[in-house]
Amino acid sequence: MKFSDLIRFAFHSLTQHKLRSSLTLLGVILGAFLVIVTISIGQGVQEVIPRLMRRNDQLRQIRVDPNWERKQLVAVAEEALVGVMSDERRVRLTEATKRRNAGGNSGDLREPLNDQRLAELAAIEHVESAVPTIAMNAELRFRDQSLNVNYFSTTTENRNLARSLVAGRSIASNAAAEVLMNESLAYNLGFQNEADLDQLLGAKVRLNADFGGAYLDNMLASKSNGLIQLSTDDKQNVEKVIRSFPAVAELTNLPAECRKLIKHILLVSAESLSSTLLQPQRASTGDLTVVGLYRRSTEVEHQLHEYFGHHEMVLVPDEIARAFVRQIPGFDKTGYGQVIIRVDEERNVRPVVEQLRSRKYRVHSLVEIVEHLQRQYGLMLWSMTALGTVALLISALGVTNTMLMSVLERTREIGIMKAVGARDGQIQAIFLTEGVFVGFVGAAVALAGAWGASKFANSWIQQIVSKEANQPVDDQLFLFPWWLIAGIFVVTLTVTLVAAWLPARRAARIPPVIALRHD
Amino acid sequence: MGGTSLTIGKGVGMLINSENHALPDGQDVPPKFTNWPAVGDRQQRCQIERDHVSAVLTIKPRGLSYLTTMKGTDAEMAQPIDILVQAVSLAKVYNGKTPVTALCDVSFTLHRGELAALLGKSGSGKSTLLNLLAGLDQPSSGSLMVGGQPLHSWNSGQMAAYRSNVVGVVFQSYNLIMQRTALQNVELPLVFAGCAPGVRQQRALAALDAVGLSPRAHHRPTELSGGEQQRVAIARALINQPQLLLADEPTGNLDSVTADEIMALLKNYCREQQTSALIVTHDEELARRFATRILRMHDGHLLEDAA
Repeated sequence: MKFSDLIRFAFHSLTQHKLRSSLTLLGVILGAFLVIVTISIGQGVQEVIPRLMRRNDQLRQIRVDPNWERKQLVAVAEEALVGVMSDERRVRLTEATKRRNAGGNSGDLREPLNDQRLAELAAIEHVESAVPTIAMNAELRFRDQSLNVNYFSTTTENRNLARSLVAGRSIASNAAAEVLMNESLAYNLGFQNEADLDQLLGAKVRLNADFGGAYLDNMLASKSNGLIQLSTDDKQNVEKVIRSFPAVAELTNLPAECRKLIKHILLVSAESLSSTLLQPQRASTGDLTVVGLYRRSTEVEHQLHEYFGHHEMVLVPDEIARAFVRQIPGFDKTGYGQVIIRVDEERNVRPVVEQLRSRKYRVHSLVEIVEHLQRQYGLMLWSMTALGTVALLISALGVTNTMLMSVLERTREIGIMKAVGARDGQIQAIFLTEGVFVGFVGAAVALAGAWGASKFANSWIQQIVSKEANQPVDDQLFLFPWWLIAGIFVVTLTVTLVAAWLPARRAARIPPVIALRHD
Repeated sequence: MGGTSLTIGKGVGMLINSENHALPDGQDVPPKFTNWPAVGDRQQRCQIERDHVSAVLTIKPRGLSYLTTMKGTDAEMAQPIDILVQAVSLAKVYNGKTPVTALCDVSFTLHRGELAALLGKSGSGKSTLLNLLAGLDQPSSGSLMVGGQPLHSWNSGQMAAYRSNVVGVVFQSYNLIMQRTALQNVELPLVFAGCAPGVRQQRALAALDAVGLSPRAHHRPTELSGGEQQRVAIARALINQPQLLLADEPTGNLDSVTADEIMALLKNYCREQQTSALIVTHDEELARRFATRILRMHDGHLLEDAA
């Protein structure tokens, strides 16, 4: 019996009962459709997430935070806690007392992220760069105007910046004495008309930060209405007196140990007092040229990790920002708040992360987040796929039921076929082909339907996201890899083949003489 | 009959050709295979090689008296070549709550080219005997040799090959598949024999032409009269050129004129093709006119075996 005859027999048999065959086919189509759609969207999500991250090289970046060392807790004697209480409460209170004695929950900064550390981080194998993220407040001086703004460090590698510029250009280099200004800040500075924005380009601004200091100068000027002003010699004399102050401890008749301790305390206090009273503590970027104006990132851009400073009013080149914050008193002890490390290749991120962790840094990598997200989505989508598979299996029961009925109805036909020479295997093949036929058509229709639906859904989603992001988005949420197309045929054909096996075997085993008597 | 006249001489004549053809590998083709509409060498060779049983039964030159030995015991094999069917103490018991003996100690022989009529009342065991000879059922005991082969010990695959290549059956109720056309019904045996679609369609049309039904080839059985349906069933039974033709009351549902035409068709075919036939009928007069031998059954026993 030829294969074409099997196909012809199957088609002929199925078309004899169009409604029943259609309903059976519909079940297979729905089951296969569910499986295809869930796997397709699963694949899409699995690929879209890293692709979105990769768009801005986010996956090659590692965020490093300075590590804080937890304070050593100070032991508390058991008898220090009085009162009648349960053991659990005693443990809780003892723990709290230890923590309080150690000075609270905060710890000490283990290794401040200063320039020396940055150089060490940049020297790690596979690390391309280590750039601090600087975001602080400062006073912006523009002509005679002064505004309190927040500023953000940026580099020439910030790809999203160019897209968001509404006037001018991006920074020329990371060390250029330039600044980019938010269009809303420009508005507040008096550039209300869009046509006037170009006039702001090339203007000079300056970022200043005042951290106190020069208290003596300020107070004298204030109290005397500016009549008293100390000369440099006068300030040196005052400082000399302040620095001699610890020696006062020796004039007391306290015990030597006590005098020594008091002298040390006065020494530290004198140094602080000298600094506070006499030295001005200010920082300034110097003159910066406004070279560009940018718009604020949209919410969608922010969600897509395409933001370039969401709330910041001013963007300053990295080197300028670094020089600015280095002027902050005590910077050597605190260092940068955050450093972004860029690794040469995505596959080297993990080893670098491990190395940073071994150096006791707190490390955040999007690779890990992506993996976590993929696991989460993967779990959810596989659950949905399992549901689809169950639907497919239920449809297989429909196939079995339909074919059992078909065998019953065609018993006499089976007898006739056997009487004219059909072997058991040929009868079985006829019915198995019917099952496979249903599976093949079901898979093909489901695939075509899912593909059509995905085109519509993709287009719809892209339209919405493009509108929100104000830029074309071409990411495909549904993907149809070759293995999905091949796999759905294999799975559906296997399921329907197994479903048809029992009826086919039953048909093959009917003795011809009994089949011919069947009415 | 709708006015359709049988063209036996013309139709069946197409099937007869005594000239032997040689296949490329030197295999002799049975004479009666060669005159069907062109069958490719491959199909012919497949047809012959596919089933050993068929090959032995069809390739051996007719009339030779040496013994055919293939399988089975010497006793089973000891059968003259001109004897096609040899039944010895054949019995069939249907086991149920109350066992029913349908056949009991039935022994007879059927020679090649012989047309025998099997008479008997309802329930006498005629159909049971026919089913055993058709390879549709197995005897409970006894031996049934066809062409020297022990039919009673074959498995289902060998039985299927036997039904496909050796025997043709015409049922009383025609047993046509109602959803298929006359042409499709006739070519059904060739479908299971693995014949190419083009070839089998030509052969089925020729067979329908032989029984005078080629104009009705694309009609379904429901669109045909009883006589036409019976002729479709005959065409189907003959399309594989069987060695043994079995017919279960082929004229039972037909008027006397049509019955005569059908019987004449079968008789001519058997004579021209040297095909053995066993025809079950109630009509003794018809049997005497067309059969060369009469077997009579009663209560599962063979009472009479007369020429």
